[in-house]
Amino acid sequence: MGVEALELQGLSIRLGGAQILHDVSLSVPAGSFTCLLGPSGCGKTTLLRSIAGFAPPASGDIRLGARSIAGLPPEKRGTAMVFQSYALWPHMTVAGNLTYPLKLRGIARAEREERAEQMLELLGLPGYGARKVGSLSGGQRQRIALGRALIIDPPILLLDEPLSNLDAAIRRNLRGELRRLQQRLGITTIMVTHDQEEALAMADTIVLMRAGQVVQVASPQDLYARPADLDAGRFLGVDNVVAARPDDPVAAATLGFRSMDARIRDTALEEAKGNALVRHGTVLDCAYTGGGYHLQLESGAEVISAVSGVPVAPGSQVCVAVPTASLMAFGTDQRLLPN
Amino acid sequence: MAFASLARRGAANLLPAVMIGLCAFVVFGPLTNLFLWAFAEKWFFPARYPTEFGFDFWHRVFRPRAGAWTSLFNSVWIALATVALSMALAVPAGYALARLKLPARAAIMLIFLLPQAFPSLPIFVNIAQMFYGLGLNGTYTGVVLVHSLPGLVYAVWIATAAFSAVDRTMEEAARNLGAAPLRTFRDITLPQAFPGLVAASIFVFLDSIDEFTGTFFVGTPDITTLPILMFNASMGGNYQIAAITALILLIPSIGFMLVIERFLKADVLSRIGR
Repeated sequence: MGVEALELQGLSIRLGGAQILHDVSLSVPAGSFTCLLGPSGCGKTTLLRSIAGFAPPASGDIRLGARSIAGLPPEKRGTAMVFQSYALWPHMTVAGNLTYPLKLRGIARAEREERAEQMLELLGLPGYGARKVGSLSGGQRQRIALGRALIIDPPILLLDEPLSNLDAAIRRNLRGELRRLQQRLGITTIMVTHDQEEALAMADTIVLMRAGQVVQVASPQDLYARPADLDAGRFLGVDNVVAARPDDPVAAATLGFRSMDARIRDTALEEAKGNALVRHGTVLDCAYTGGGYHLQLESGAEVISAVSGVPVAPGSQVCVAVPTASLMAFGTDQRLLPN
Repeated sequence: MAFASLARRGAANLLPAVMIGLCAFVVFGPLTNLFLWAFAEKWFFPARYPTEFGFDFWHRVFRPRAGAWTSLFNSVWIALATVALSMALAVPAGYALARLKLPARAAIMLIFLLPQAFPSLPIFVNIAQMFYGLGLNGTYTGVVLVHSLPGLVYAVWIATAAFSAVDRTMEEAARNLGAAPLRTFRDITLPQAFPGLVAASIFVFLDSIDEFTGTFFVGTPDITTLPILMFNASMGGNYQIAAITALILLIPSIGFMLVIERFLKADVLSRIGR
């Protein structure tokens, strides 16, 4: 079918009287990997389901390539989806699961079996065709579910939290594998996830969502360095928010930064002001985190998290410095200020 | 000391043993009596056990004119037709109910139980009266309809449970990959709900094989099933024939119990109330 671009135009969705999506517009270039990222309940899964045809839009349009698919039933859309629970059919074998979509397309038995075998090869599971779905591990099921979606050579691949049911180690492996497979096939892919690390590692473009709206569309690097507002920043690991002072290097209402960018300095060796944010405080707590120490310190009314290479006794007076490049300046409306 | 504790242990073991024995007697006592009667040639009052055993009454029961064969075939055909009718209604109804949201579903399921809640006799008397008007009395159709009334309750309840056990996303996956709704139902939903539907069919079948009151009001005297034959025999004081009929009735029941055991999984049963 070839790879196609996806375009959402003013999409709104209501489910049972509640407005799940508000006027979402988005364009996903052909062949790109896009992550829908957001906290649970933000509408990202509903958005994905609406593309697949399982959540009828109240208004707006969904266009795949040149045609509008918003009015089509799911089976006519050609969007291939991998479900969070994998939704493999337990009454069929692995090969049965893989060939069923081909059977629906009237492809002859011999070709179906050949393509299933090729797909198993591609997934790194050769010879698994005769197995029962129930005998597979979580990671294997995930691959079969992916293979079942890819076997129809879809114009677009939809992934609903495909890695969330797996162990951390398998998840990291599959993350890379999935990304490489996507790049090799060059298939337009939309993945839903609540895991920011996963989104940053895999996506070309991240669509940050909150309360049924798109907050920001950006590359992983941009999103990480310049979240659109304070909430987006917090979701992306900006765990320190302090009120700005006149002598800070950046003018803003509040300044945000990640604790990993906040280094502890000796109070005596004070950094030259102007190229760093500097705060003094009393250490409340010092916890070992493997590579170093994580500190909580009280600076006036604010509590700041910071890292240190050496342990610091609670109660001692320290100085914390954050380089200007790591600071995010937010205005009084909590939105990121342009630099 | 040792004796006292032994006695206490003995008493502790004795109580369950006695209880089990009592239960066994309650369950198997009548069955044993039935077996004795089935093979008793002569058994008159003061004798505690039959004075003569034999197969004479078996020959009488299976004589062409005795009606046992006809009743057996009637019973089986009516039961099969009842299963067909009940399942034809229960499969779509069960599927629709399984996909409904809970409060509505619970209400409808409860309504389906109502005919079971009323005493069956007045219901059957009224059905018989209605069927007279429709000319259904004494017809196979009438008997099948009257058997389907309790049959549907089982069928709809169990079918709903069986369909609820099918994960919705599996249907969505099939739709997503190109299967139209009916095709999805046939290829994905039905095969997974199949064990539950078999169980439902078995319950309907057994219920119909056993059904007496409805058949009595709607079917007799034109249609005789095994329970009717048994009733006539015992009312005529012919306990041998009643016992033999009862043993014949056991055959389909036990056969289908074995099938249930094989097909019905606990997880299907556990979803009936949900």
